[in-house]
Amino acid sequence: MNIAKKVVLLGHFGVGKTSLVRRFVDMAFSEEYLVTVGVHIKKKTVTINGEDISLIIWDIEGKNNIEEARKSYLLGSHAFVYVFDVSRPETYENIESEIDYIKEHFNSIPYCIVGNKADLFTEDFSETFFDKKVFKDSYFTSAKTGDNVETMFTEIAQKTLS
Amino acid sequence: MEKSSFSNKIQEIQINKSGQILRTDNVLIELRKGGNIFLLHPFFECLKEIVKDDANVPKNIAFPCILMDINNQKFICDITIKKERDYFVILLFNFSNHYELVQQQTQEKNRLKLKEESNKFENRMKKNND
Repeated sequence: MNIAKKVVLLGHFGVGKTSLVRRFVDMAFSEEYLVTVGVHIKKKTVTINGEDISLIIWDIEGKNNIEEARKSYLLGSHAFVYVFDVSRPETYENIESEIDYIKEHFNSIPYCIVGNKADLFTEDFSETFFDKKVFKDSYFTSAKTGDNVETMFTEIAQKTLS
Repeated sequence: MEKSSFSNKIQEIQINKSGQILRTDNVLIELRKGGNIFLLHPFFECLKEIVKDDANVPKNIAFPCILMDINNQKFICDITIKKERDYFVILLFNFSNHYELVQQQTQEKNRLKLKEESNKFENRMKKNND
């Protein structure tokens, strides 16, 4: 039986939400920034423990905080992916309150935090920079190279089953 | 009678709880009565979850600015779901022209902001390396 799960991508504009979806669903990447207005919805099936899960991914337009997002977009969600850009502090400086918002309003819904554009990491600037408690268990992905993208989506699909 | 330009942008579809199409005026998308709307597009597939729990469904739900890609046709629609006694009404408002304009304006604004922040990041990296 094919189970459908709605996964909503949250985060500021330009953090690479659309690129992550494109990398995961279409195995493609473009350097060109194209703003998302409203919602783009894509679907991909993953297999978890022999079971097919259709991930229906809602790529919603970037907002500075979740409260600004349309409530209807979040209706019926099975998981959230909160994406920030490792190179732009503006996109993660309020992350604690954003995660608190998710926990408070959607307490039974699994979520994960994703630091995208990890291809910008250098010897002096790496994952270890994100040592605050909130970043524990975060994924560091690169939609550009594909690093960790598949793993992140597969693991969030797995979380929707538990 | 010729339809007004506004009515040419709205499609009304009636479905039951299982997603079966009871009525459709096919203004925007050609649909078959008796077909299942949940199979049409992932947006509608998500409605399955919402309408099944109809006791808790709000009377009206508005989903603005949804990009629909159906039968090789692209629309950007505002979608309203209205709950009636025995069925649901789906209204698709085709506002593609309006949203395309919004996208162009937002694109330019965000592009400039990203450029500024990218410069800040590069300067920080340079400073760290010095």
